[in-house]
Amino acid sequence: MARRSIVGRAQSAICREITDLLLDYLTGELDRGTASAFEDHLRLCSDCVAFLNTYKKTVHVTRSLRYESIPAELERRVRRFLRERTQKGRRGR
Amino acid sequence: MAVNTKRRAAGRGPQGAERGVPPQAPARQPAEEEGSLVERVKAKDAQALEALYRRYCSRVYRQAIALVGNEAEAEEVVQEVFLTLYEKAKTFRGEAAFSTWLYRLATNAALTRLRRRKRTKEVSYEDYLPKYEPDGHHLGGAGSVVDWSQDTEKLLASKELHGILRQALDQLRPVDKAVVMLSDLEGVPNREIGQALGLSVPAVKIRLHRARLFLRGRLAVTLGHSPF
Repeated sequence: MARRSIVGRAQSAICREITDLLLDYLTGELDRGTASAFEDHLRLCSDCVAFLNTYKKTVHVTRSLRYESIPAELERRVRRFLRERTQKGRRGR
Repeated sequence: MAVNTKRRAAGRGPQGAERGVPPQAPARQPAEEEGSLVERVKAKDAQALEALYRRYCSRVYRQAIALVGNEAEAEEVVQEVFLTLYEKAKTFRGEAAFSTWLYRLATNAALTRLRRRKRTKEVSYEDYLPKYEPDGHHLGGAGSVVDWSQDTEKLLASKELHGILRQALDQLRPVDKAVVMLSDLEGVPNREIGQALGLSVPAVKIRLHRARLFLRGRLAVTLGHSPF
């Protein structure tokens, strides 16, 4: 979807546009002019600052999730399964 | 054809160094010979399969358990991935990284299981996405968005927030969940996620952003605030 540039209109840039740019802003993928206009808007809009902070916190919490390592018994079981299946395949040739 | 064994900067992809978001610890990378192991698997070398299994089983399991949410199905996914690797290694042409190919196998196996499940009551994304006034400013006017980002430390320490987030992740559409898992948990670059899931990079970014907005809204509500 084509986006309207916010360069040069930090004051009139609207929060919806700023939200649409969040992901690219956080990954540093905005061009310099757009990033600068984005930051100018943040200086004027406490709602967008709050939104940005809570968006970043959400990503931070997601990244801090940890899923358990493969249980040793499961790892062995699958290894045995693969051995059996690959041996069967060789015998079947 | 030469096998593409290029390494990714571990832990986070190129899009990974996000402003103000701490990166994950780097994952250990395969030391060597991945390409030759893959070639040997193509020739039905079971020992090479086992070597690749040892190298990648943890990563595949982590991806599987994150998506399907239970050990029994995660085990089935791991079995299926490595059996498919053995049986269909010849279809891997090295156009993408080997790890991307494995992500694709694991994600497809997990998504098949998720799609088979009877859908529980579907949560509407729209209820948790930001809302705006007709002029495009946040709904409710100036000062309407609460910054709850500093209120989470206690919940984070108690792991309560993780439980809430896991529930919210389970409410994402399966493909969106896979995108979030690959991007935010595994640090896979958007291009590779696209290759693994058959999506364009812009489509990956749209899904990732929308899913994060939904998760943000769910966390906000849990913390007693408006999702908007």
